[in-house]
Amino acid sequence: MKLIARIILIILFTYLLSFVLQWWIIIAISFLVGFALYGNGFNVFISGFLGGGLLWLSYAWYLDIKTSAILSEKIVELFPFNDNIFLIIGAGVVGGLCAGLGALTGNSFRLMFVKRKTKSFYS
Amino acid sequence: MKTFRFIFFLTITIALGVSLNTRIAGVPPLGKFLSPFHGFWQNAEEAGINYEETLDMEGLTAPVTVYYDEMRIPHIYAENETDLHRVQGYLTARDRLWQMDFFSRLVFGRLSEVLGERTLNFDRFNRRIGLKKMTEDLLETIQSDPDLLPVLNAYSDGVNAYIDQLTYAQYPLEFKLLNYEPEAWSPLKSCLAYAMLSNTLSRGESDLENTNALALFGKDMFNLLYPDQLGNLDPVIPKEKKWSFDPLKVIKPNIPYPLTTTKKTIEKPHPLNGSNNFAVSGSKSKSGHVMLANEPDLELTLPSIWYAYHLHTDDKNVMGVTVPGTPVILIGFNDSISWGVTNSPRDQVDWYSIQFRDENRSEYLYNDQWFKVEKQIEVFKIAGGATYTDTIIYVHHGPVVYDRNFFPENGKTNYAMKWIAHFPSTTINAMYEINKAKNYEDFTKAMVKFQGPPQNFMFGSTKGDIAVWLPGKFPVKWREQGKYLMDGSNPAYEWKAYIPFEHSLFAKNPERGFLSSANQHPVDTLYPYYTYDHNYEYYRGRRINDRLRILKDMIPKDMMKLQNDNFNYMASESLPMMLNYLDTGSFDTQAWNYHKTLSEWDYFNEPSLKAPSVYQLWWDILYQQIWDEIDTVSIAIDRPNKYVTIDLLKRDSSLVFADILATNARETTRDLINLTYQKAIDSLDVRMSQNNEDLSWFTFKNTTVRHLLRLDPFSVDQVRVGGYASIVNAASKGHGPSWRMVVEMDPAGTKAWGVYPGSQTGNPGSPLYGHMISRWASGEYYPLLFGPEIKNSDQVIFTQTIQPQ
Repeated sequence: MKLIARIILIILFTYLLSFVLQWWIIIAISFLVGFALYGNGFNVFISGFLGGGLLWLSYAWYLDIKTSAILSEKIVELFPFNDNIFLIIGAGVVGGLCAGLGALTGNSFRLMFVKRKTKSFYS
Repeated sequence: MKTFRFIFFLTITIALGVSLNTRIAGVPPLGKFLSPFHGFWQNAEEAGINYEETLDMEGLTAPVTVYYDEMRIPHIYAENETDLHRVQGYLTARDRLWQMDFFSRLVFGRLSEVLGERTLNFDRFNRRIGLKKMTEDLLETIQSDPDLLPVLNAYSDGVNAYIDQLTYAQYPLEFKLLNYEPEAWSPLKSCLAYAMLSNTLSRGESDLENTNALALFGKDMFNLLYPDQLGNLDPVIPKEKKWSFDPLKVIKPNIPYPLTTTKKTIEKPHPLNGSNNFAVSGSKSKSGHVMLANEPDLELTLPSIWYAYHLHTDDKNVMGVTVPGTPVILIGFNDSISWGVTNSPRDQVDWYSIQFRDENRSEYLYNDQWFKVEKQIEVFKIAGGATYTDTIIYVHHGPVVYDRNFFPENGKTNYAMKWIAHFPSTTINAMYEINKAKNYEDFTKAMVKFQGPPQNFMFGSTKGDIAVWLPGKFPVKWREQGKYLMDGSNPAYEWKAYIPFEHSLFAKNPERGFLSSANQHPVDTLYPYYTYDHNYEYYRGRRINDRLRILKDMIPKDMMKLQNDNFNYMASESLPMMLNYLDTGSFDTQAWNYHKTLSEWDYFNEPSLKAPSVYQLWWDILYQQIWDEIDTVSIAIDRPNKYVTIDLLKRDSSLVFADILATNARETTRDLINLTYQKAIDSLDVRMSQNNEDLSWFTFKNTTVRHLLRLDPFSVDQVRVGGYASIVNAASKGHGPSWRMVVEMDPAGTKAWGVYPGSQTGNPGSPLYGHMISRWASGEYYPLLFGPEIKNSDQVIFTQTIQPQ
């Protein structure tokens, strides 16, 4: 559940704030989400990666379709790829890494203050 | 452990963030650049009209209305001139901000700040030849013009109003690619066009190359290879013109030229920068109205060198093109007059060798005395943080461009550059007045202020006048003064006086009913002043005049047809001779086939023909082989031009230069032509069989409109256009008609047509990027919406209102 909540929060806040703030706000938001909804490091990273990655990928894709790939087809020639889909994937991977690492860092920051729970007798 | 883990992740995250925010090894900062909310995705535009219907703008005194037509030319209707130019600045920035920034960095020698080490020498060069200084001096002059100064200020405010509201996401694409920010515009930057155009148009010269050639060949051979004038010329000023004034006299001093040779000389403006213009009077036109045509042939770039405007207030109604960053229209028309310019080659640069007293270089010899130099320290910031300092030494002639730090030649040569463009100039003031000129008298008044770069100003008016003026600042020179390097210590080499304006070259309403110019000789030798240039055009002008002499009852379409004329005059004068020399007896089938292609050709360089490709390749090889002697010389020497080359080939079958150095035999002209024909055929076969080319002319010459950063994806190649260098339709590989304009001076309302190889928008992410190229290539025009009333015209596709804030 936490995984989905993190993904939703990252997507929502990054989407809203990216229009007014710098690109790296995705890292800051993921940090805060990782901090608030802490948990298993791997899970936190995955939720960041999926949240940030899906958002950047799908928004890039949406813009690309809306503009009939007018620019991505030119930009991709400046990179060592031959298909503009790689730019969309690239945006997804970069967004994913930023959010994933941001969330992971937030999580590890939070864990500094969380006392390891002694295993409950009932669990 | 937990702290360590946190610090570890934090470090990785920050490192990732920073590296994605940094341009590394030429790769744009990937985080910023790929973010769909900020990066290049935001520069992609949807098809359709994306202008805002209303805008608010600080500083406006009244609402301004902007109408857009199909070409996306803004027709700005304002109540006063400052409002007009404020909006103009804003709109130019919207469409061309990065190009404006690029131009200003070029002129001020600041490209290295964003492009790095690779442009450092280019920046140094531009500051040494004085582009920065002449722009600063120009603003100084404009400060005292109470009409023009507010225009520059308003324009600059408009540009800054646009820049101030930009977020990173809205930066033009090139800023994102190179990872830098737009900086504030200024009235100073708006003066850049003067330095840019002077640098492109009036800096050409061959003084040092001439000195080298003179030292190497001697006077007789020099005059044979580089003659001042050859017969069969059709100068700009019709030959009937008589000169009745008493010229200022200069006497050639009896002194020798210093024959110091120079190994390597500085980069010159491209020899293919040129232009055509012509005007016909009512006697030649069907309607009885004057018609005028102009097209400047410059480097074909995206964004285009020109931006088109229609500027309207109660006392100004002018339309045409200007260089982005410049408020005044440089080529265009208003409701009473039209004008067009072509470059008038007229040596504007002289070089003086300077002798310093000692290593300190603080004094130089002049008239047997030592004089103090002025030293200017120029600092260059280089992307990445380094700085470079260069000291430029000024003597009274001008900046010492060649010295021990720049193009050093054993550390001994010091050459000072004297360039008319360095003098205080009121050229922009002149253009501003032409924009408002109502008749021939207003126009000639503005001509007094025009100081260069020397242009052939073609003029046409609704009152029926046509005229050509060649205004500018020209020293009175004795024969061959400044054709070679001169001794800077001897006052006898100095310019003593300037040609008075009243003695300027001009012609008005000639009996033949037309005037034209195409970078040829300005005037025949009967003009009582010495005129010289190293690079005249020999073909376009003659073709235009040949046609205009014949044509009558002309309609605008005839003007357009002539602008797009593909007749290869040079081929018509050289190919029959070349074919005559061929020994057809030894031909194989292949050689016969090409021979047939060539002999059946009518000399028109149409895009789909094969013959122009065969001729051009053969000529290029022939030209290269005939002057192979020059390639082996270790000093800088120009090859004789193609007109002279053809003349020599025709006159002298045993020409000494015909010998091919790479062979042991001693070739005659006949041998040379046969050998190069075979070489051309071999090369054409390779192109066809290995590269799969069909040899059609347009693919062979490959006219390309190139992005200013030379990025292929933002450039358009293989443009299907005919013509070539020295053809009226001067579209060569990288140069060509950068704005074609035809105007009919109908007293009931000026009618005009225009097209240029590019688009108003400079955004490679716009579906309109370069949209006019195909129409330009096929010789079609857009009707230019002008008036008198445009509000309700069906040519208006969008109306925008800009409100005072």
